[in-house]
Amino acid sequence: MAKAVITNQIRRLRFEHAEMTQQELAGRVACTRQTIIMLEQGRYVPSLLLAMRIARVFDRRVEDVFQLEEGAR
Amino acid sequence: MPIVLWTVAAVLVAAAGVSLAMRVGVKREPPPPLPPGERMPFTALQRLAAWSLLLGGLPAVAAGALLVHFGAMRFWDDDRVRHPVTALLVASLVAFAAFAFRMHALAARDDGSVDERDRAILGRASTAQSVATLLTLAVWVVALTHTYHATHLVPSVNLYLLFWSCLIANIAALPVGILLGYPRG
Repeated sequence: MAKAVITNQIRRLRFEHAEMTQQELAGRVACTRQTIIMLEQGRYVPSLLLAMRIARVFDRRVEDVFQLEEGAR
Repeated sequence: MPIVLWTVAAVLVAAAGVSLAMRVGVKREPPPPLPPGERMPFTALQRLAAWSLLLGGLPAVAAGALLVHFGAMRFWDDDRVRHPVTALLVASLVAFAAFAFRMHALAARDDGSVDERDRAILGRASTAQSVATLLTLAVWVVALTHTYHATHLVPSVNLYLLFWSCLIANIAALPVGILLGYPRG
C-alpha cells in the first residue's frame, strides 16, 4: 500500500483567525505549544480528539483542517 | 579489567543501547523552522526529565567516581568508603524516583500542561528502561564470567554492585527515554 500522510491547514487557519498565536491555539485545545509546532511541520499526527478540538476552534470540519494524502513519498 | 570498570562499562553500554533503541527506525528530519532567534519551547515533561537526569545523575556519577577511585574491595571492606557511596546511591535513587512519580502525576493532569503527545512519549520511554536493565545485566554476566571463571568464586560485593547498577540504570532510563523521544515527533 502506498504511504499516506496527513497534512493540515493549521498555520493558514491561525493567520485567518486574527493571527492567532501558537500559544493561544495550544491553550484553547489543551495541548502544548510544542505539539502545535510539530503539527504545523507535519511531524505529528494528532488523535481524533485533538483534531476535532482544533477544527472546532476554527469553526471548520475536521477534513477542512486535516487532509489525507495517499501515495506520498 | 577491575570489576568496577566493568560496572562503568555496563552503564555506558546500557546508555548507548537505550539511545540506539530509541533512535532505530527514526527518520532524521531537519529541525522545524522557527522564527530567527527562537528555540523549540520545552514542555513541562521535558523540563522535569532534564532536571531528573541532572539531580538524579549527579549523585550516581559521584558514587561511580568514588568506586573507580577506591576500587570494589576497598569499598566493600572500608566503612568510610562504603557509607558515603551507599548514601550517594540512595540519594540518586530517591531523586530519580521522586521525579518519576512527579512525571506520572503531571501526565495524569488535564490542564493542558501535558498533552497526548507527552503521554505517548512517556509511555514509550518505559521501553528504554527494560533495554537499559537487560544490557546492564548482560554486561555484568560477561564481566563476572570473564573475571572469575578460573576461581569459580565471585566476591559478594559484585552482587551488591550488580543490584545497584541495574536499579539506577532502570530508573535513569526513564528521563533518558523521554528526552530522546521528543525528536521523534
